[in-house]
Amino acid sequence: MAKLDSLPTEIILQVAQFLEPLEIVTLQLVCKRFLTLGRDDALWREQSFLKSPFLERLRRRRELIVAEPVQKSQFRDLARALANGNGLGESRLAKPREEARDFKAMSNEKIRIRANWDPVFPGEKVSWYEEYIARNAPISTSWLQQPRNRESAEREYLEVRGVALYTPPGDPDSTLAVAPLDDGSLCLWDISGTRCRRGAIWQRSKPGILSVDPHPQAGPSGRSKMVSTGVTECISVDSGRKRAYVAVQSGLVEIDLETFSTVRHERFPFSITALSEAKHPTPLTVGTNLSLHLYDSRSRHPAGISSANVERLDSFGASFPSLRNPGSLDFQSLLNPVSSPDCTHLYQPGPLSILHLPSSDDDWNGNGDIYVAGRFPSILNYDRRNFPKLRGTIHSGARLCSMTYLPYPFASMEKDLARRGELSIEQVLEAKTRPGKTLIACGEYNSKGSLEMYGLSPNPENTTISSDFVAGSLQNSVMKNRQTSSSSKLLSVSNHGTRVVVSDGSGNLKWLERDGFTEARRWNISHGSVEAPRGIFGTLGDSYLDSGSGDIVIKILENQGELVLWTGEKIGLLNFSSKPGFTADSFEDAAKTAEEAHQEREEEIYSATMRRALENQANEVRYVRGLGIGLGGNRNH
Amino acid sequence: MSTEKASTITLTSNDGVSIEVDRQVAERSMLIKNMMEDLGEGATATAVPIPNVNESVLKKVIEWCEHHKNDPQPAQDDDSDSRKKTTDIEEWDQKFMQVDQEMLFEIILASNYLDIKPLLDVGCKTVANMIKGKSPEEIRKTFNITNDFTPEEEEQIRRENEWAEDR
Repeated sequence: MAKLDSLPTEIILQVAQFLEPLEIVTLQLVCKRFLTLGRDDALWREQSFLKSPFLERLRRRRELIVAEPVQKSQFRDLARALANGNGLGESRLAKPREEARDFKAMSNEKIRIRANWDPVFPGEKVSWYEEYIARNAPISTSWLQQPRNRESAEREYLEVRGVALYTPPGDPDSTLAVAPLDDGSLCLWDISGTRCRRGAIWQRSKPGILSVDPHPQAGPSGRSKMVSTGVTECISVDSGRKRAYVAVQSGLVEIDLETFSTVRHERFPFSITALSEAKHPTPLTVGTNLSLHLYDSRSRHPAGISSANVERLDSFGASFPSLRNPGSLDFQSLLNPVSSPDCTHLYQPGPLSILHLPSSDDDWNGNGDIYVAGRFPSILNYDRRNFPKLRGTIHSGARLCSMTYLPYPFASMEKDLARRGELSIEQVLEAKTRPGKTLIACGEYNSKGSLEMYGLSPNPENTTISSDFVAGSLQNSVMKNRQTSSSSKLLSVSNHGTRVVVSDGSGNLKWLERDGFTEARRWNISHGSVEAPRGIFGTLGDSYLDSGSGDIVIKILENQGELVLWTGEKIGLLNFSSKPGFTADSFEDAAKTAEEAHQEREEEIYSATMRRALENQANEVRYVRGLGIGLGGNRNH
Repeated sequence: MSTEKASTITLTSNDGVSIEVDRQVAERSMLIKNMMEDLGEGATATAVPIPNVNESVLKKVIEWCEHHKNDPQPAQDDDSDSRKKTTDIEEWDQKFMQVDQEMLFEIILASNYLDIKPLLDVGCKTVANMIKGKSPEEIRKTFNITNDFTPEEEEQIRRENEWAEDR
């Protein structure tokens, strides 16, 4: 007896190919077997492919190349010339159509095109159903509960000064967002909804535990010495050790997340501008305005006593491996009284992002690379084993402010060709399986956004580290997208599924394919989100403001496919749904009276109208100026 | 057309009924076509057993092949990337597919086994059209499928699929 649910898997998947994505989603709810089949990776990969900008572009290019009508022949020649100008001879897309008649060749071509598009690396685990959702579903932002000042009578909103994620050990399902607040307290939100309501504040320390002074006096005078503003990477959480490291100007406060007690307090010679990630047993790298330090919380210094010798690493460890033990260390430092081995001075100020890369794939064994980027034109690379010694630099030319990495190789030439659908299946596989990692960085170049990718290869001849690269090979593994990444400065970059997501100074979030060029989708946080409470000091966003709520995303973190966004004053979660899961208002316990709600609505409408009026006026002024009869023009007469 | 193309071959269904068909018609099935090519001329003399298909279904399939014997070979699937998502079915095929569900699934299984891609597509499109626009409960009713989810599981899936609502 043949029944629909007794048909073999491949036939049900065939049927599903004739269904629209939303119909497949409905099918998932029918029974368990259809749920499994309706989330089949191949099925959703195909759906993602069919909706990809890659396919659309490929089609357009192909139409041009094979265009038959005479009037289009110039375009066709141009397109062919471009397609052939890749150094690989005749473009694959220009192959005569007769060949495509052959069924076998056609299906091979189909596979080849998909291989060129497929962003997944061998061995990488990807849920294509989730990919499809992230690439196509509607987006909304849910704002976390905004903390209020408990000490003042107005109970005004406090601004959130940074963000890090904390997964308590032994509880892998639960994720907490950790952030320092304006009043020097540390606040924890549950963003997975396992401990309390999703998005609500779970715990908060008493105010003032974060301050420059290890023994803060009570009172408002301490306020100015609390959490520094304008430092994006000001908090790191070590989930394994349940510790948070918070930068407070020149002080680094280590807090136990279970007890909210200060474990240690270190003073650095300059203001801290960036912290690396914290992952035991790798020492934290602390970047201050003019120096870099390794900070190992295991070294036994009583809390509060300032010391520069945080980590006892020997600068000559590589050349004298036998001397790398505590006994000989004092002797070594006697011979080298000048620089402490755990600290190096920067010739140009302002590191903004510090990235740790493991030396091998297996673990963070304390070795490995440190990459530092900031307000200087090159990315600095250090080997932790011989730390103060600069291992090499990667020239960027841009001012970079955020970095991340992908544990897969990157080669810009291949990506470039794959983007145009020109590689063979073997070439794609070869490009994806060679050893190496990709360093992804973003920032600003000539007031425009710059997204950069550097292939880091273990083979010296392919490396981009200038001190040991062989000239000529650099070209193959660098990509700098300074044209299409953004018209304003890029603020943050993160991996998100098989895409790279960046945020810019206009409030845009942009998802790009791993080639760094092809835009997968974009979204504007200030236009797309409403009902966000504004802090009383909520002016930072306004200076960048065009319209909407004026929010910009300063830091993006990925948490199991979900994005955590920090705007500089509040934290939001990016949901793939047409309505936000919660809003910051939904946590207000005291229900507003109808009158209050009405008044609030009126105020909102009023401020929105005023904002629009001001914008219009500004636009008019700009327009008139463009005609040459505005202020600037008059002055010329 | 060469003369040998016009020759006939005999197919035997799994319930032992032999049906004689034009070779051109039978070769709509890629399975039979490839077999013929592999075995050469001698094969036409003996009956070809089709072990997975019974008489009534085999007759139905042959009826379809008969009607479509002059179709160009892989006409569907022209553009390698824009696999036609349309579920349009030509009129004759629609009538042809007006059978009970059991026969429909048998035809799909047979066309899959015999490797007759266009017929398989028509069958799958027919099923897809029966699914389209229905709620999960209606789909269950249509195809007589039992709901094996607990209410909690159902709620969980609904939450995960929230993105697809309200559009």
